Amino acid sequence: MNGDVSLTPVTDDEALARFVLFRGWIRSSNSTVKPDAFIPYPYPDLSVTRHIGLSEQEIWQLGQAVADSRPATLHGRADIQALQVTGRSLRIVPTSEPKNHANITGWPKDKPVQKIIALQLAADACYVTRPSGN
Amino acid sequence: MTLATLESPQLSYSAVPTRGAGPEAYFIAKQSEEGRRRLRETHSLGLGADRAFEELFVVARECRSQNWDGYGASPIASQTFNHACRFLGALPLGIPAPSIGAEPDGHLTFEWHRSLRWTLSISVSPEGDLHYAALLGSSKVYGTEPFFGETPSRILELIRQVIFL
Repeated sequence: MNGDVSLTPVTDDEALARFVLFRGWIRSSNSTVKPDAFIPYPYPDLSVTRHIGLSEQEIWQLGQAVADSRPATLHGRADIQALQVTGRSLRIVPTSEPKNHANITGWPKDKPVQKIIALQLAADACYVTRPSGN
Repeated sequence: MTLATLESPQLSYSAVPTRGAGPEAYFIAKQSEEGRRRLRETHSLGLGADRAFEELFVVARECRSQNWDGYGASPIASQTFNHACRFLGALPLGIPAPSIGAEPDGHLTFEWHRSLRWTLSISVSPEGDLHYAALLGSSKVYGTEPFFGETPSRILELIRQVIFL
């Protein structure tokens, strides 16, 4: 499936990916993601990638591009539904670059409030380990 | 008090804070520190403190450069690492060792996790503030406590709620 979705508004049923390059964001006990992965920085944005219009392979390719910018190992991704984001008074703003990128914005400045939202997002997120060969 | 640094990773424990002054108070504090160190070294209590210090050092090392998360993260500053060492060293015996992490804004984190809805996360800032947030079943709590060398009672209460209740 192709097509430029850059400027289309994000719908509540869309899936969003936060790529994980740091092992410390994954709980080794049960392969879930820590809230640390969802702290917005550089403030006030949290970068995510929209799944819409992408195959699994293309999603991993975009993740690899994030990893290559460091460079670092791409361990996996934390997927979250847009509804879980907007339901917490945050907004999802698509950007034209890079492909399928969006910013989760509207975060409060107060760190403890950011943390409780990040905890809730992490509890709702689904961690997907990068498959070998991608 | 000897603390590990990012350049010199010897693992040791911070001194127990003492409110007294003079040689007696110093002696008691030193003895107390030594006792804590020995207890932790036995591993018989299952505290995992050495492993936690090791994990803290590894995380701080891994996150010491700019953009360690690929999204523009701030590096972990040495003062953040020092505060985190002191916080970990000040945890009372009997508290299970936390999992160590880092946030993109350069804070180090300590997590006690029982399940997705029973989790406590504490961020240590470069200023030594402890920002905490916890999911306690259907309720949530969050806030900030200053760190002056002893584990704040609010934090201890939350750890016990998440782990033991």
